[in-house]
Amino acid sequence: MTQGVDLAVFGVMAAFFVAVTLGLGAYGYRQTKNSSEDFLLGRKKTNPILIALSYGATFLSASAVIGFGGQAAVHGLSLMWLCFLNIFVGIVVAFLIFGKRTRRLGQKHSAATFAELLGKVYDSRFIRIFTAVLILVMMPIYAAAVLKGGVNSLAALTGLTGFYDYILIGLALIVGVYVVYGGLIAVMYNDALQAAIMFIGMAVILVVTFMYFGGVSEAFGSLDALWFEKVGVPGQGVLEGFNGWTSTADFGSKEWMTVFTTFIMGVGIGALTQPQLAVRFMTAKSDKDLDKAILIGSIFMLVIVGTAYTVGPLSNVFFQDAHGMAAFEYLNSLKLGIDFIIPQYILEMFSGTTFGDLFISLFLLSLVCASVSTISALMHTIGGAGGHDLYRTLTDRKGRSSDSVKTTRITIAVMMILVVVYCYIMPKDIIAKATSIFMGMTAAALLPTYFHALYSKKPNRKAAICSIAVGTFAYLIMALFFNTGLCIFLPVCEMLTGQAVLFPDSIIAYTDPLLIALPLSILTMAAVLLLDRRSNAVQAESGTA
Amino acid sequence: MDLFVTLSYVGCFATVAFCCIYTIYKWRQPDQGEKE
Repeated sequence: MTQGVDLAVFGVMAAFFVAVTLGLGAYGYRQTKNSSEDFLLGRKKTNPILIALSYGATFLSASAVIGFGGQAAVHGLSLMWLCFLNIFVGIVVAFLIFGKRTRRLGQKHSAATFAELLGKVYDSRFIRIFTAVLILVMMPIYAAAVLKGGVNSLAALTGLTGFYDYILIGLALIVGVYVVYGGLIAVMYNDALQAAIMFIGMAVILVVTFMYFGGVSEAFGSLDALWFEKVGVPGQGVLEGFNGWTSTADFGSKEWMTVFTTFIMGVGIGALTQPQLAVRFMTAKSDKDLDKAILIGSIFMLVIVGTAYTVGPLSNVFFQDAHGMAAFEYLNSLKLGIDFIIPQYILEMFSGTTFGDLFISLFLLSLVCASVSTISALMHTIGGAGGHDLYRTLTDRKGRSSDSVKTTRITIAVMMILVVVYCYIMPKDIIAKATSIFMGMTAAALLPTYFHALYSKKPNRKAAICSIAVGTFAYLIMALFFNTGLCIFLPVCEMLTGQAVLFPDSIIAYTDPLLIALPLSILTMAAVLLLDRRSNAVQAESGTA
Repeated sequence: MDLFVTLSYVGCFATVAFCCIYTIYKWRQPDQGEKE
């Protein structure tokens, strides 16, 4: 980073933030009363504004702001389709099609977690255990990517890179303390606070960016001109098929496949099966509260994601004016990755302006809030999966719920340590990809099963288990052996064959695994349902004969 | 900005407008009790 934030200004803001966060943690602790329902679901009469803000803050992490914002700077405004999907699928479809029924079924079955809900609807120990294990295995990777994103920005923008370890452990400790003690009540109240800070921070950035360019149309005009008049040639760190930041890539090209299947589809659809988000629906008192939440949720999503995906591409013009290089090229020259494009842009844009230090500190605090709100929700969900679902199912305990709270708290603490360890072993520029892999994996494995559970009068356990097995297997095979972006997580293909993926130059290497795995998972469920119906009909016929 | 990118912005604002109308409509409806 070329300059740093004013530590005095940021220090005061951060101290106030930490004090309020821990205060809300203490409030959650007092309200939780050691019951597993309170710890996992709060008081089940959560205000719709709180649901909307908590859902939004949990949904959007530093990944959305700096990870995908950085990708937008490289791949262009096409990523606004992800913003559309975030609002349409992530809010409208999630709340209206999935949310209301999730809430009703959750209450009917007295379920406190997503895994418990699926397990009880299908009356299946396997489904409950599998969902819990999926959460315990995959979610820490996502949590580590989010934590790493927040800490990277914090260390780089404050210039305290020498204190990286302390920042990482300090942030993990703050989250760990308030989640372990305060449960979902502390998590949701903190989410609301963090959402408000994120909203103000991102709104300021959008307004100042458009002011810098002299207006909205002038800003997009400059971005158009940058490509068509100055750059105009491929090679700005993008794949074949890229047509500039304001144009869509050639249909079916490597660039198009990466942007539309990995970033847009993978994350847009994957949002529907997020266990940490589904739990928010279960905290609502009534369907009407969920109806009220969608307006605030959609505006929040538009401002946060829309700002990141608009400002990202526009930063190319800013860096071209300031340094004669596009964003990717300039950050490369500083030996920094794509994840640093947005922080670097904010730093340079606001440095030396009136209240510049205040705005940079506000942005930095927004990033911390974005990270903390998501990590807290993930850790709470991981705790529930380990302490409530696995522990209760494997030990067949149905008795005291305080036992379950204790094991949930222990799980959160232990997994928090694992997440910190993951942060050290993860490769760089991984935030957006780790988000994609987690969301893609859960969607491929659980989306048909979740939908069937919500909408079928007689949920079919056999169909659900077959769909989960095929979806998981197909996603893993595609991610480990075919996709160039995702094989870096576990280089099995390289160990077995000597090359990173099986067909490195083919289009399949740039196709998100979800595009193959989800249809297979849906088809499997449909096929088993059909076969089961036929065999039931045959049995009924032979019975009457 | 090409048409496809423009449409993404139109889609975003149209969805928020839908959410606004839907919320106001639902807010004005009297409570009909819990449906199972």
